[in-house]
Amino acid sequence: MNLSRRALLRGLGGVALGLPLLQTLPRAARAQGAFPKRLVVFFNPNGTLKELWSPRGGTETDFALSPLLAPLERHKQDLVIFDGVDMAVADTGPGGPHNRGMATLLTGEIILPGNFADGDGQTAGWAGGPSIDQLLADRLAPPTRFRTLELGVRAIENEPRARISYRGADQPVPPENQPLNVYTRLFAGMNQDPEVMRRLLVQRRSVLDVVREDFARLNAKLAPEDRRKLEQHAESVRQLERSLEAGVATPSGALCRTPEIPQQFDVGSEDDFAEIARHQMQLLAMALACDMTRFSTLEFSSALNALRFTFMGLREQDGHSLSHAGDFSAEQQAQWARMNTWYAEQLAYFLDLLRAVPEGDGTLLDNTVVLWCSELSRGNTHSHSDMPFVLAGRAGGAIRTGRHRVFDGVPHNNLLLGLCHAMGAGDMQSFGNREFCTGAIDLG
Amino acid sequence: MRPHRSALLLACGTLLAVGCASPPDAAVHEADATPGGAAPAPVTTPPTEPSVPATAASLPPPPQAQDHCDPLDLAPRDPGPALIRRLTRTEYNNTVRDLLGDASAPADAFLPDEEFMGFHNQAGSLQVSALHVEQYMQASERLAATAVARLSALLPCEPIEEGEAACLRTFVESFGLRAWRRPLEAAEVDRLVSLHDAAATMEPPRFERAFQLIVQALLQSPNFLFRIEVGEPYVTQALGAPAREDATRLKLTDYEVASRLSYLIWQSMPDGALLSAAEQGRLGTREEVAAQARRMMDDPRARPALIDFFNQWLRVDEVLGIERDPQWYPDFDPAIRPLLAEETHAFIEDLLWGSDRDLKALFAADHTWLNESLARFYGVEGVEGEAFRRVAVNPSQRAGVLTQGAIMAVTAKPNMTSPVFRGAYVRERVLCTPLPPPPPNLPIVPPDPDPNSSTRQKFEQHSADPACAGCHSLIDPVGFGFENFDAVGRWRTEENGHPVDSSGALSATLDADGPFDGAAALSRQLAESEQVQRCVVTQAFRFAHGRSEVPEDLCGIDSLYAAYERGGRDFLSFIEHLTTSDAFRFRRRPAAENAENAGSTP
Repeated sequence: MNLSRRALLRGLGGVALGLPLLQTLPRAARAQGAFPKRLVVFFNPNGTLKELWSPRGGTETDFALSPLLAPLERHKQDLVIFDGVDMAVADTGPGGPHNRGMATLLTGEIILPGNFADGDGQTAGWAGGPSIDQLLADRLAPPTRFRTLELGVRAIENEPRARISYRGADQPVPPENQPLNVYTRLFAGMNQDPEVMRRLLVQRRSVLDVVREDFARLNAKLAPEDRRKLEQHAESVRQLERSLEAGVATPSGALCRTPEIPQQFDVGSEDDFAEIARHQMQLLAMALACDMTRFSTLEFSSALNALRFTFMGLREQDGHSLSHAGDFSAEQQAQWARMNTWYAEQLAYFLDLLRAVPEGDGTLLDNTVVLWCSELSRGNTHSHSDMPFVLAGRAGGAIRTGRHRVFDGVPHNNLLLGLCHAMGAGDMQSFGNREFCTGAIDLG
Repeated sequence: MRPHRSALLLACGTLLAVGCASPPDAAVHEADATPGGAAPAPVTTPPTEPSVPATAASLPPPPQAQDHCDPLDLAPRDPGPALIRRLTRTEYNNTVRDLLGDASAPADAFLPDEEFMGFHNQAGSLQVSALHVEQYMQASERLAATAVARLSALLPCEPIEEGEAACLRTFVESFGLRAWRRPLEAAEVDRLVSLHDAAATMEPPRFERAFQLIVQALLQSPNFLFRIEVGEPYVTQALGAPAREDATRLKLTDYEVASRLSYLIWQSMPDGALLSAAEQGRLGTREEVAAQARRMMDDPRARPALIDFFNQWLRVDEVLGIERDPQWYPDFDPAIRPLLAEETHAFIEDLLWGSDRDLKALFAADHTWLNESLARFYGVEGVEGEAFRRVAVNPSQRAGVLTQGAIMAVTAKPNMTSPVFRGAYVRERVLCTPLPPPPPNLPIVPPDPDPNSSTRQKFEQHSADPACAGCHSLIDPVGFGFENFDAVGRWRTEENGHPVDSSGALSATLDADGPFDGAAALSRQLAESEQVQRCVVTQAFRFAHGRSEVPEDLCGIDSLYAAYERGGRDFLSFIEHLTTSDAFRFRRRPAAENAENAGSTP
């Protein structure tokens, strides 16, 4: 294990160091004889400008990045850029185009009927099935402290337009938008006296033992619909118990240490958006380095957002409005392009963090795959065709990168299925709604 | 800044015409349009003559009278599909305040409650994710640690004299009844008291440790976090007939009714009087329930809880998060935001508990509530001091809540007003007929800003597009009526050097159609509309029951509306009536059980 303190500082943006807890490989990882694979979903809303996004010229492996992806130049060999992947399943079902896109993006399922307005007389509900992060966590059952991790950067609306992760049909998993809460949840116990933590665990365990019996007693009495509601609660309690056990049992990973303590932010702030994003990315990178979780989503804002990039002087219009700019409104299109370029810069920064963590002969990035996505292809038409999907990282060698892959309208369920295979769920025959899945895209 | 909900109501700065135009199979507008998409329509939509016939059919049915319902309201009603309800953050905070005397509002740190139809208290939507249960655990630990410091105040017994385990048992029985809002079963008591054994191996002092663990277990239980409802068989006996058990419905237990009352009227747990009424079986009749409801609405706890219905329905508190572009609103001071919210809160409180309680005034009132700072903001003279008081408004400018700053601000953009957001707000919130979504794959481009024209001119040019006109004829002529109010709710008569034109028209309503001049006239037109008043009742139903209505509810809502009108649209007597309805006092019998017991006589 060769660890350069300088590399660490560089990779983590020169953050203030607490006491580094330099330790050996994650125990869970070592038991498998390999480094674990991690999946991160990196989301930003309202689509992009595909004509400024798609790589230029050349071949599958020899191409030039276009302006909106230019910030990723230093990671070009870590990327797979997709053209011609459609999200047809999002053009089915009730609700408006943003809600349909959000509900479908990671589930590949048709949105459920429900009662959320989206300017919509029919109204729509939550997603119709589990998202890829949750589904893989179920299938692969990682021995990590957190089964999955959901982080948000001003993804603050409490509606389908702000949810991408789903435990199952009708069960959105909300993101944590406050970096300080993420810090406390993940790292507060790290430097505690182990004896104090052990005592706390014993107490918590005995309380949860009592609580668990309440579910059993209630189940016998409740109506079936109510039982389903309670089952979600019971499952979350079981997850909490597993998380508590793992918290004490699993030693930290190679570069695992306490990251910079974030301040308390106003999670709705526009001015602090970039700063909140930086903290969330650092926290997530460290959670991966520590093998605290293997399946995570990082959600930048929400569909139909009213978010202005005031931190870079864009005070006039919010992202959703800009995404609707006419094709010939040069000034607004330029602002929308700047916002999209900023998201590419954030992804590049996040990949820097992963690449700064050595794992064996490679880095954390080699054992991770980041899926970058949006719920629309284009804002001013609400198109779900030719979606802007990018993969970054090699998922332990299962994904061959440095490629621009051009398809002719394949469903995005195929890409999600290919991703499941790359992550180790090779037995999966289909993903999401079967009518919209015609076979995995081979990512190798 | 909190995003506008209007951004969601209207997917875009503007709407396209698919659902709104006709005929549906007309020629498509763009090469990549979905078949059956937008239909170009002639540009004949001056504000006073909207193209109603082509558009009205695409709206959902408005709230209206139900011909098939029993007008005498005597038949047993299907109570509708009521899910058990998780405590909202507000309910959690209020409950631990009333249970433990702990006013620390721990739920403020919880994940926000999911929204549904604009309300934060909808049973189907509220989740219990893994992060939620972590937060519940931590809150219970903090609450228990605070409680143990006040042990003597909370304990009904003396552990040294009576023995620790015996005293804990007494505590579990009395405190558990309040925490779970029903008496605990013997097995439940035993299980909780067993934590005294577990505490024996933990850090001393053992009794205090056990006490804390018991409080934690009670507060992390689904019996605390959910308002559990099981119900009981409902047996009736007509004169001279055999007793008969209701085959499709269960009656809520008296304890369950107590919780329904307390969480509706107080957003908190039942008090001692409700719990003893439940213990004595005195919540079984309509009269008994109504008497409790009346008592509770006189309690100060009822005020924030019932005002919260209007808050959520009308999106009042969203004003707390608005931001304004300093280029366009250089003198906007964020400190005004809570005052704008307070104006509407005070106005509503007076409408509910004041001397004139006809809710027509919600939209038609000739007054508002201001203090000196807010009056100065509006340019109103003669209001002194920081206490809010009732102030007459100029009836040609303002009438009711829609013309108050909070509503005008939450339906505007950071740099300009939005006739589209405002028109859509009236359609969805006030008329209960939200607009259809724009179709896929059609260009939806809002007007380009132009300092040389008024907002109205920009939107009129824009909506002249035939593909847009269908839906926009339903929205813009309503929204234009508010153009005398800027994006923070101040009166204006010109914009960018252009005189403000606030003439408009309502269309595609059951009974409120017609031209108007300005928001005050529009508001009075809305106040007189039966569709609007039925919408008030429908929205209150959603809030009260934590769910949206289903077809089986429509007769019940019809009766609620009749009672609302009989009571002169007095909200408190309406709520009293609602608590006596079958939907409030019964549950559906689960299907399986239904089949087994159908028609059986005990």
